[in-house]
Amino acid sequence: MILYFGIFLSIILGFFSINTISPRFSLSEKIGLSFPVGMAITVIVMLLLDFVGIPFSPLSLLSAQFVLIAGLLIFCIYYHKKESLYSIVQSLRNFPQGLNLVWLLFVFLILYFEYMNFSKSMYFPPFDRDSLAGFETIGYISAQEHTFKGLSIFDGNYIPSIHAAGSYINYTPLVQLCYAYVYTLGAETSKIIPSLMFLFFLIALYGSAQRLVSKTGAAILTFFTLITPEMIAFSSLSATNVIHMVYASLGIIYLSIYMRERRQKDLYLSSLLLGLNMLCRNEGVVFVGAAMLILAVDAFRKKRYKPTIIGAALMILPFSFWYIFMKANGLYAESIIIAKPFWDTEKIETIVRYMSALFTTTTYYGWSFYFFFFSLLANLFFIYKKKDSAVLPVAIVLAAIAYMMILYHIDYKWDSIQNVLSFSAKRFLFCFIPLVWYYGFTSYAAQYLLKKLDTILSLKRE
Amino acid sequence: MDGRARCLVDFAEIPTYRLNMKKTKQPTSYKYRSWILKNILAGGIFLFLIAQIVEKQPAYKWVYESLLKGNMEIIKKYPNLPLDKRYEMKLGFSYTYLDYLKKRTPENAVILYPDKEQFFPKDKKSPFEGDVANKLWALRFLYPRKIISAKEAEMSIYKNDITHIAIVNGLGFEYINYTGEHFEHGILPVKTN
Repeated sequence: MILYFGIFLSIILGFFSINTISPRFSLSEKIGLSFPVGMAITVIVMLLLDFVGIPFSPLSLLSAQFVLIAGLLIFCIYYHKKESLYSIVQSLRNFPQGLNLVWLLFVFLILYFEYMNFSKSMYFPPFDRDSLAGFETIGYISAQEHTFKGLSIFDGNYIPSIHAAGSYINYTPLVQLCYAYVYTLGAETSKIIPSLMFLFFLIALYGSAQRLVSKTGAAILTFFTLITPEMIAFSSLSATNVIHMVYASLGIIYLSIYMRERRQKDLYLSSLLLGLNMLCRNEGVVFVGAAMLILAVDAFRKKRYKPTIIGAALMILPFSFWYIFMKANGLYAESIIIAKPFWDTEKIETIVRYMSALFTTTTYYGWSFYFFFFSLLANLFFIYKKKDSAVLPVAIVLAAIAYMMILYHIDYKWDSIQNVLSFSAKRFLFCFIPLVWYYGFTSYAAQYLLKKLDTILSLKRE
Repeated sequence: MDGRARCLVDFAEIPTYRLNMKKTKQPTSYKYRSWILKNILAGGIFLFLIAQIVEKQPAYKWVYESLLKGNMEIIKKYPNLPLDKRYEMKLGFSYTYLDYLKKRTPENAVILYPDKEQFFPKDKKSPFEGDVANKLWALRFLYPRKIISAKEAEMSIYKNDITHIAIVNGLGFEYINYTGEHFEHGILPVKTN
């Protein structure tokens, strides 16, 4: 019972955090983002508690959440007054507009597929190798020992290889601490976290898509993202990849919305999500890098630096805190990065060969990347003539190149490059899946077609 | 003139009034019918396309038929399966073995744990699966017991605290200084009472 109460508090915490950024997000955006943001803020609070020596317990965690919720509530009431409530009423009032059978069909399909996926996820306990040999076990033991920094499995006397290259000691902590949270509240397994993350992600993706396309378009894009084979398979495991995808992809999506609509709330939300993406996996830096580059170019062109600086600060803040936490508590491992410049043709060829194979296979990602290439090609004319936004394709390409550069600069002393490319890289590409479908459905050409479809299927008013 | 004009006006107004009535009544029902037909047609086309995609594209077919429907069949078949059995379903004998060790040792036990070579000997078919030889993997099920791998035992600060020896594939008896019955998989205390 206390577990469900804790989950409820995390959702409320996330909901008010989004409201604090702006009450003008739609209800589906607020609900969808509430759990990922609420859990991430809870994790940061857990790190703070651990930092000052307060042990994890149901009392300490729930009290901290209560205090935060109360603070955010006061902020929302004081600054936004009735606007938060108004936006909810507005969302509900707008709901019947544009309803049609195609939308209903896709919503039904999403509910049906996700019902099966959620059931599967909750039914089976964590069993995949990477979770049991890492995140899941760290979360479980962290809840038993009421700490993260002082874990017995971080002790070199007990685990001699703990500071070796590729060790789990300096994995970014978001997923492990989410698991520690639910185990502290008495969960039997950690599966409620990945199950709810994916469910709320679908709602958030639908909500964010509705900002740029019709209800029907949003439902179709959510459905195709959902059924991406390898990603839906991993969404019911306790591994980090799908949870990382939630933060990274939504962060870039909100950046693209900001670049189109120029509302600061989207920039701040994007920056927050991209900052949290770096607490999920270290590779998340490629999305932060891509976003910063796009924002920097934009700032120079528009001669407006303040929003970009605030955005960039928000992006690096969570990881900076984690870095200080690691340094202060001796959580370190031998570096796997080759810091000096070098040229290795064979390594480049291997990376390009494996990555090309991944981008072109339909076994793992269905039609996702083919759809993206086709959409981009179909939209080139509009990018050139109508100045349609190219932020998403630019971000995708920049992040992909940055990721390949990271792969090139890794010293593979704990695993083979082939293994990393076959397994880690395959899962890293999940972050691009929502982005490619989002781009395809929100490009100028697609928007035009979806608008036509909605006009045909809508009931015209008198 | 006045009469004619009045008559003309009256005459002209009647059909206009009727036409207006028609405009608000008949087209509305027509509009609804057309809206419903268009929606049914479009819904049917999209449903057909989705069915074709799921049927024809092998990866999407796998998602629907194996990953989702296949697992739902298992869930419906064993809805109340205890957690232990669900672990066993996924991790096989590795889980059964670790669960056995957990039940046979006290929480403060320090277990000498086999290495990968003992779990998966080259000359023998092993019933184990997964990364059972990985210390962290095993600790998920054995915690708070401590486990020391055979390789690190010599250097470990816990080498004198070892209370139990885990036996796999009939290997590990060399660490016991008393004689007894030999078996394939199990656990023995370092000292007999």
